[in-house]
Amino acid sequence: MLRNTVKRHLKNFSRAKTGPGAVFWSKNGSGLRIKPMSMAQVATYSTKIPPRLTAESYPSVQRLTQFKKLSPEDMTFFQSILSGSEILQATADEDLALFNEDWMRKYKGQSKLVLRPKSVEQVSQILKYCNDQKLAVVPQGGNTGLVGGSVPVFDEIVLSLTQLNKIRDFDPVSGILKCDAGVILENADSYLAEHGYIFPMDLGAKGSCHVGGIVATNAGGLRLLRYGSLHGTVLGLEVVLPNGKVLNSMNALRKDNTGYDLKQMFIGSEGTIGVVTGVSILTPPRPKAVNVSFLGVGSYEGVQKVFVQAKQELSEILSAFEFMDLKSQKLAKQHLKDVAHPLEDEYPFYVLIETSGSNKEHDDAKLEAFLEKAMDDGTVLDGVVAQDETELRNLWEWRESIPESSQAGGGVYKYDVSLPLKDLYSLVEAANERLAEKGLLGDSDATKPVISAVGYGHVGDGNLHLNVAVREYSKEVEKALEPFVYEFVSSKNGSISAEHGLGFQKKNYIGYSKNEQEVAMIKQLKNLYDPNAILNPYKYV
Amino acid sequence: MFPAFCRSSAALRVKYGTSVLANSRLASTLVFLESSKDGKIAQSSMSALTAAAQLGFPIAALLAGSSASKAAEELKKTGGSALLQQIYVANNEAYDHYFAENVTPLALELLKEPEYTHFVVASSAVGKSILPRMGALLDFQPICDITKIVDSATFVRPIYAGNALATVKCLQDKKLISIRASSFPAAAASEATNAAISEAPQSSQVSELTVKWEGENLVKSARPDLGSASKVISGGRGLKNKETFDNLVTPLADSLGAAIGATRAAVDSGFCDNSLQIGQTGKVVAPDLYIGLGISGAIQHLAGMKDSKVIVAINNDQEAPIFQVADYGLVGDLNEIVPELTEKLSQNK
Amino acid sequence: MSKALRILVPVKRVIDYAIKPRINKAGTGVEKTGVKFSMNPFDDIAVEEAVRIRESHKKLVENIHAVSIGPAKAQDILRTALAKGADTCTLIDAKEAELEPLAVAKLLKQVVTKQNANLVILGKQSIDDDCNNTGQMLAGMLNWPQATNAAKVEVDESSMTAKVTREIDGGEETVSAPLPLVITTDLRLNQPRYATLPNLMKAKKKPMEKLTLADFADVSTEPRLEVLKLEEPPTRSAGEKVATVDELIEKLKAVKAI
Repeated sequence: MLRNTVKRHLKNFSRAKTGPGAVFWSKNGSGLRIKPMSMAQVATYSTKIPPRLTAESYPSVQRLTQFKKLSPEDMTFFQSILSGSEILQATADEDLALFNEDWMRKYKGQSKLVLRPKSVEQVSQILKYCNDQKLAVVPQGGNTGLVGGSVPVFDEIVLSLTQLNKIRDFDPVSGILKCDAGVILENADSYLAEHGYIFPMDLGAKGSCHVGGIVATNAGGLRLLRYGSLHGTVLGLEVVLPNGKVLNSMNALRKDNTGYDLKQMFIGSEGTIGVVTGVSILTPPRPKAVNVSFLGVGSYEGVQKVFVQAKQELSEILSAFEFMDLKSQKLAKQHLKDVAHPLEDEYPFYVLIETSGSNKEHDDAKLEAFLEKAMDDGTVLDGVVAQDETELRNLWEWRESIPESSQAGGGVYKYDVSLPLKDLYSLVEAANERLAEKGLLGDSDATKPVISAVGYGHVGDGNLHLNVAVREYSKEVEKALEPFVYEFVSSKNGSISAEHGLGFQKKNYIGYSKNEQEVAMIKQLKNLYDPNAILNPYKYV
Repeated sequence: MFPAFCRSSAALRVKYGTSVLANSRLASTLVFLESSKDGKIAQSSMSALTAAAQLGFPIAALLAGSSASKAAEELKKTGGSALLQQIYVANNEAYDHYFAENVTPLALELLKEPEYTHFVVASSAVGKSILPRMGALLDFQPICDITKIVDSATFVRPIYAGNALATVKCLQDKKLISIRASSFPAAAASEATNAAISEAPQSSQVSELTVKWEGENLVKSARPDLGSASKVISGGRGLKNKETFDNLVTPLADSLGAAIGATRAAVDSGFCDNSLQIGQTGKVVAPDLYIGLGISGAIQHLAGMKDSKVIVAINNDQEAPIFQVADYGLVGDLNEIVPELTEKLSQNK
Repeated sequence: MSKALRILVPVKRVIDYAIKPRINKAGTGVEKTGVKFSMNPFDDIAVEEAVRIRESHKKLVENIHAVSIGPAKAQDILRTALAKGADTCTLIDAKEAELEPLAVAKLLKQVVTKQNANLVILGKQSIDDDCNNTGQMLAGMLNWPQATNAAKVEVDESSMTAKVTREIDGGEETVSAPLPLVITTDLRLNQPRYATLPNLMKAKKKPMEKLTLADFADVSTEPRLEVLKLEEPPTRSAGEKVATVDELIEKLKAVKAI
């Protein structure tokens, strides 16, 4: 990856020198690697099976008859408030797959209509109408959700927020950013970077996910350890309620103890009780010095030990602490192909530590002292420290590409759980055992559906991601894993969804982490604000 | 090469020689031209000739190698510039590979003459190799890879990979310049010149450095390598399936001699192999022409091609973000547009 | 006569190339405060190559010496070079002076003599000024052969020559030259290793010689070129929509894209 990224910035030079059509052959046997990129060496790729309709994969889920089917009158109404490019209709050639399929290509809906309003007023009119007509609606942001919560199951209308994408306001003194829900996270962060601030959360899907989407799902991400959750950083929201009324608390302040904190209900509500159209969020100053080190550790106990030490010695500059198992790195190696892994030897576990601070010399000294101590007492077996921005990004790449690598072989079953720290990895071991027992596991055996079951995650937050990489989605694999995984988690009093949410995948499993009274109260609120249940049905609870 | 403190021009002038010799009869430009085995002068060298002409002084050209005489005759016949008065030829196979160790003394033998105030060479692999060595031996700092001549002593050159353009003034007695060929059109073949052809004076200092040429590998493949191709046709999810991807992208690429790329979405959907993936987690390309078919323009993809010189987007969704960065956008049905484009481009060839 | 390679690797501290440089408000220079600096990536490749040569010729390489000419903070770059495999290093503290390649080459010539180096490997260009001069100038001043834009280097111990595959327009060529020699590195030469923890710790104990420009009083470091101004290139904005294929072809032909 260093090579490719270096090439990006130095393209002018290599381009000026080498003409088109030049192919650089590698010479054998010298151990020096020049990478030929000849078309003749293209490896064959796995046949990607197109996603099946959710309705077919899950025949027990039936379309609720209370919802109206789209009629010409409805189309007339929408056409009266939205212009041409704001309405996308399914045709014989165009099944709106982009909006109907989820990121993992595991779920596929049958929506015939996508609406892309450009104003909050239009969103309000759409919801009011749909509520009156009892038309089901799925609010959709960047469609990067991992539990099938952002795509239709049947013919729900997709309400896409992509065109509501302006930054509304930024106060450089307080750091309060106000923006439309459809602003892409990476764009928001780039904007903030210009002003010396940083978005208080970061995740792999930043190039596609929306600010509104991460709020609606209460995404956790890579820096929760340092900046806290959205429940803390979001100051105010603009939400369109299921009946079309606009609830506006965008002018919210850092401190305001006047009444129930309504916005908290919408944060993490996954589009089931309101559509987030605007977000006001407090952003911290951008760190001046960032360091990343990638370490090899001998056991999960070792990971925990490094974590405790890191908290003690790095304390206020620690901004991320991620762990990954060897299997996840093996999958990533296959996906990243020619890029060398940071560590030469293999270790059972790897840890990525990021520090962010305001003073480079200060941070370098702290990190150096911590690493030296950890190596001396044998907690850390090996490691590297990024020496420049590119190495820094490459090290993160080994962590951030795990989801994509897990998916690349055909599909992935994802489980995102919270467990007590000491039990975190035990789920991965248990899952591997179970899959092997059922004869489903075969990393080089193409007849077996499961390629590998890997574990990684935000150990700092007690959050594990278990990814079961498969060659194809299959009922057999699903049955082996569910409710096994949820029962395991429940037995340790953990959460069956630390940050990914419930969506469609975990709709029936909330009971594993919340008790009856809690579920009852959640349902009461849903019924109160969305009596016709038009928002994102078949999901959540 | 951009001093934080700028010395006063006067001080520099006193130290390094007389003032700018604009339009002085005594000013003259020496241009080094590369030629191939069959006596053809390199395209980039013809751009160097254009740049030399822009300086406005009489021009002498220097050709070296076993085909130098042939190239000289050609040049005399087709000229390329009315200012070209003299063509020096060092017709010796010792110069065939333009090794700096050999060419430097040859060029310096001429350049040391007071009449030559400017030396121009293309910023080609050869130019880059010889110019600095010449500068070192004359104790001059060259001005490299210029994109514009402001006047005979002032030039513009890109720094920080072109993220900044520096306007630089050189007050040394002689200006050693290499030019970025893409910024100066190759001198068109015009009528015969009155240029006199003569043998280049032999250097008294022949290099004893024994650099040996062992071989070369100049391979042209049918489909250029994605990483370095000058034209790239890229397909996205909007192409719907593998068949359409193959049917639309490949012929268009063939008609332009272009490389083929794809977005992550296309790769994930199985339209093609992931070695074709362009983007943050794929290849980063910067071709002269990039045509994206059915590509929405997600940030991750843009990161891999936004430095392309000309970006064309064809998509049936007019709101696709890619239209924000495309130089030319065409909204419509790919199945109709692309075959039409392919056919018309093939006819043009 | 025992054969030994004493490799000199000049390394430069530059604005991290992953960061887009900004021109200061006065238009006289690039903004440097609060910006991340690292080793010039081509020099990183040079360090890596020197270390690989040692790894393939165990007894041949006597010493790998890194040198950096820049502000005091260039020490960080030298520490990185030591962590990646250099044995010793020299910092020539030039304070805030921005030296042109001609001056740098003169300074390096003296370091070469002092270190008795017989192989100099450096990056083909630094990603700030993009001159692509220093290696060639140094070779000229030393009257050594030069092999620039190396994509592959093979050292032959018995004859003390190096075979270098160079990237040229349209492909590659291979040349061989006797040592002493100057090699400049190109992208494809190698992929530099990370600085590992054990090596970072060891680097702290490796010697660093600290000199200033005053120690090179006979070298003139005055700039020969005057920078009149710095500007940003024209930015790309959303282009135009065309209505037909014919119109598209016309436009592309007009800008010579096809």
